[in-house]
Amino acid sequence: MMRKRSGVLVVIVTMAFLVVGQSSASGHGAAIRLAATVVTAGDSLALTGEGLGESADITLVLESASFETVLAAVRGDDHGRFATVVRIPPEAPPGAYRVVATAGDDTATADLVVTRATADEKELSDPGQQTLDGARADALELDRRRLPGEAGLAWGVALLLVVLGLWLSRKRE
Amino acid sequence: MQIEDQAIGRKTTRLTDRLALHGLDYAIPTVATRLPYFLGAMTLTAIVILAATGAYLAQFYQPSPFGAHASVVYIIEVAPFGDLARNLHWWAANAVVASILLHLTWVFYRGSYRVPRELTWWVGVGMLGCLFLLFFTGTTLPNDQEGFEALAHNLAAAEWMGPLGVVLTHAFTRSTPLLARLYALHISVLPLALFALLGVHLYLIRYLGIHTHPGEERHGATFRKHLQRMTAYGLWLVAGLIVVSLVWPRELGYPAVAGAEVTKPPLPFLWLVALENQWGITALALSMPVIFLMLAALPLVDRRAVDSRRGMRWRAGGALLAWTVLIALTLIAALVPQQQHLGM
Repeated sequence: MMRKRSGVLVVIVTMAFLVVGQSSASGHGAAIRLAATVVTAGDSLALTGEGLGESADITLVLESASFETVLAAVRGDDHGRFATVVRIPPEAPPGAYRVVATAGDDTATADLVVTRATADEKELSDPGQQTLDGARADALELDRRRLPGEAGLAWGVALLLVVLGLWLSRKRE
Repeated sequence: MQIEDQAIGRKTTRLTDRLALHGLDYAIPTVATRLPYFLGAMTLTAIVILAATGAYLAQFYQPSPFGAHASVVYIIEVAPFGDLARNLHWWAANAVVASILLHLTWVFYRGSYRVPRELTWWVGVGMLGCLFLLFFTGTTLPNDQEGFEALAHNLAAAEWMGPLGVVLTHAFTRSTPLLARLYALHISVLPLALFALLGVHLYLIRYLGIHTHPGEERHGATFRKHLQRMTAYGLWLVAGLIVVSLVWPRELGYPAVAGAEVTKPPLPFLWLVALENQWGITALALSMPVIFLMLAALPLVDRRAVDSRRGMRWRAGGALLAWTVLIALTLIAALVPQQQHLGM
């Protein structure tokens, strides 16, 4: 009986942490949402946001390590809410981006991947009739920046496994 | 102190009983403690890494012709540990191919495919087939130029096969893209088949025991000791794969341009290009089935119950010849300029 009660308690506490985590994820209320997380350069993208000042001018910027452009400037409502559709510039190189919405001191960001237009459905089902222009055999230049400590952690795990293996191989049965 | 030792001893016994570890204490031949006998275990370790990293990558991958490439960019650039997981997946796949081919060579050299281990051999050949198909389907998934060309070759070979290959063509269904169907094969059908065969393979090895030649000690070691060394090698393999993944990350090509043929396949399939350059798509469609049929026929051709030194020498020569041809074809394919094969 006691075990059952403590089990229920653990579930309740866990749920409470989850709820708190959910609400703190959007900071003090400033947030933007994208209709898609992956978009082709040149295509349109719907955005909504909230908590960005009161009737403030909001600037929407698309940025990466090598490219930055202002997508739009919009006016938020009394609660800092806005909804707009922007066009991703066709010249934006493929890769990972951030969409940054700024209104005074309030800032909200969202991750976005921009990709180059790929073959369409017809090309995919009938590869024999298409142009060969633009095909490249080399590798795409990618931003392989890892999370802080990611590489260090991986090296550490590798070292630990080597040591564990040595211990095991020398251990008597 | 003595009481404490007794208590620890009792706990160890309880744990050993609960985990049925006594079952691992059975005797195995002394020869099985040599390095070549760990090649199968190395393959298994790499398969486990593939399953773990594959499950993680599946959280971010989008199996559609329009979203696949972008989602791989996302995996590399944005997903936490995504780049590392993808690199590990790639290098583990290469490790599987290398270790299983070496394992196959060793089993062939030792003549362990003969009576009564024919079924163990056939199941192993089936697993080799599954692993090659897993490697191939995995190559197509990023939908970059290399992946798209692999898909186009798949289509050409499937069409060459006629009704037998229709399931691997666009004509089979218009409701789901071929890429999505290959993804389904990659993450469900082939792994299920692989693990079912693996279960049978391991059971047969346990039941029939390790093959020994006359004069070799049959009960000189225990499986538990073997497992201990196997785990050590497995840990080193994982460590090595992590290091290789950090130093040489797997590249991603540009989004596919349909109709072009400008890339060469990854190393395990490179030898096929040399054949395809010479004999076209027929060589591509036939070479793998012919090789697998030859492997499957081996226990039926060599039915001698007793082995001899001469037989081992012949097999060593055969294995050497096969590896020489494979390496020569791979080198030729790597060095000659890229050719158009599909008449696009």
